Amino acid sequence: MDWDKLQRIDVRWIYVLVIVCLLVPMFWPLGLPITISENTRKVWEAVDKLPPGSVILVSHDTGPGNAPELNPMLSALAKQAFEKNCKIVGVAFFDQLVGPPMFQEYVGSVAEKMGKKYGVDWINLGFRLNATATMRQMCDDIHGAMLGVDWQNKPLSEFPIMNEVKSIKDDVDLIFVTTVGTPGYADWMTYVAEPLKKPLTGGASLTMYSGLQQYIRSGQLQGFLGGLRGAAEYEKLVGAPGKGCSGMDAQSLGHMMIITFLILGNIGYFASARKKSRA
Amino acid sequence: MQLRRQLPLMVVFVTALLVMLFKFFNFGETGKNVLSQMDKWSQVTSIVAFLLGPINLIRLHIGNVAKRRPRWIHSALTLVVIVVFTIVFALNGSNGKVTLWVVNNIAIQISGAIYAMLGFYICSAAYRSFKLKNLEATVLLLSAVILMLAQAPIGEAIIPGISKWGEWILSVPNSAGMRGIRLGAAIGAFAASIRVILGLERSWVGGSTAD
Repeated sequence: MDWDKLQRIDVRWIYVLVIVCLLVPMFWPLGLPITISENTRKVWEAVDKLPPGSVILVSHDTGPGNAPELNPMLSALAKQAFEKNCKIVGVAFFDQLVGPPMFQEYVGSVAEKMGKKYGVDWINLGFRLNATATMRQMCDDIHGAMLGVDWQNKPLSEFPIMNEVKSIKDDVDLIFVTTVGTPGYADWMTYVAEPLKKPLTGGASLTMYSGLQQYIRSGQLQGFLGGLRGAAEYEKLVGAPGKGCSGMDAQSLGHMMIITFLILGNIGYFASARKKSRA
Repeated sequence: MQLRRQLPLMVVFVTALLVMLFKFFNFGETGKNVLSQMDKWSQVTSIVAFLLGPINLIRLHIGNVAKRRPRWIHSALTLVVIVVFTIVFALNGSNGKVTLWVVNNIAIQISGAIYAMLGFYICSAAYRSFKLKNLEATVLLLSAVILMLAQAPIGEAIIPGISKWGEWILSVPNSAGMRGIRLGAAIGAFAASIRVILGLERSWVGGSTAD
């Protein structure tokens, strides 16, 4: 057999197989068990150790591409937080078109199921430009920084939750950031969490996950969720399997396919090198 | 003309000096108020600066259409989209029902589809370029395979305990490398900032860099 052909497989076959690997689990789920990583457990613990009635500031800093990885984290967080009667205040700095509507959809659907009221147990403050300046202002004055309105331009004074939550410094107990770039976790860490000594946790797209490991080791981040896998682990921990868990089968097959092609490509590479050395 | 270049440099120098002064020395409530006021100015300036993007985009594409440059039809389409969506957003508000429908069903879907295509490219690029050519490439490939298996439940099913290996790679060698990169980048950013503040770096005002 001409083994070196293995490194010249038509890429269209690879594309077709990627689609098949993503589609198959939709119809025939594999249901493989998901193990919980240390970082995910730390995130769960950061929320779990909050006293009832605590306020969690959630910054949903995602774009459309990474939203499928990060949105399930919001649902799981909302479930864990609302079960502990914690309150959630949401903001967004990365993408105006994605952050606020997605926060509303994912936290809102959990809130509705659990009987939590908008403006009382949770609120969506929407998007603001110039993240660093707004974050710094939020430390002392959330109302001023968000120009006194929620994401639908309704006055914050109408909402009971905002009578309790005036500043991050005095009224927020945990910051949870989903992050795909800048602005993201680094801005929250530099301008808010570190100066105010507030615990910071959240979730990142898998591409960013490797870049923040050192902050978990140093204790500046209270664990962090990594991509869809992190979301699936968190969903499992809070006992609400959702989109994260259902995406794991596709991820399993997709990764196995890449590994298979890596092996085939390398067999072809060595066969070709051997052929050349013989010639 | 001279003032056009020197004025921004002076504004940057004075602003940086003020921020450092009020940040590093304790001026009590006055200092806090000044910094808070500066943050507000910064927010307003950003919003004004944000307008420049669409204005430049519209000017560029109007030029393309008017002069019938190659692929001008794409520019025309861009202009139509900008005008239509600006009207929709202006009439319906940034979080109105119609706006959200457009965002959820058009903008997010298109962006998501483009991002998803990366998965296909990564797969074919990995197949074509990840070869065991030398020791460094072998280490890279092995780390990649372990991390891919660690990130998916199937990895644990094939090799029990592999997720711990993945966690170790991320937490130890990766952290060490990232710390070095971050420190280097931070020192570089610090040096670049000093050059901008002192007016040695002038490329951003259209001038040449002074040594």
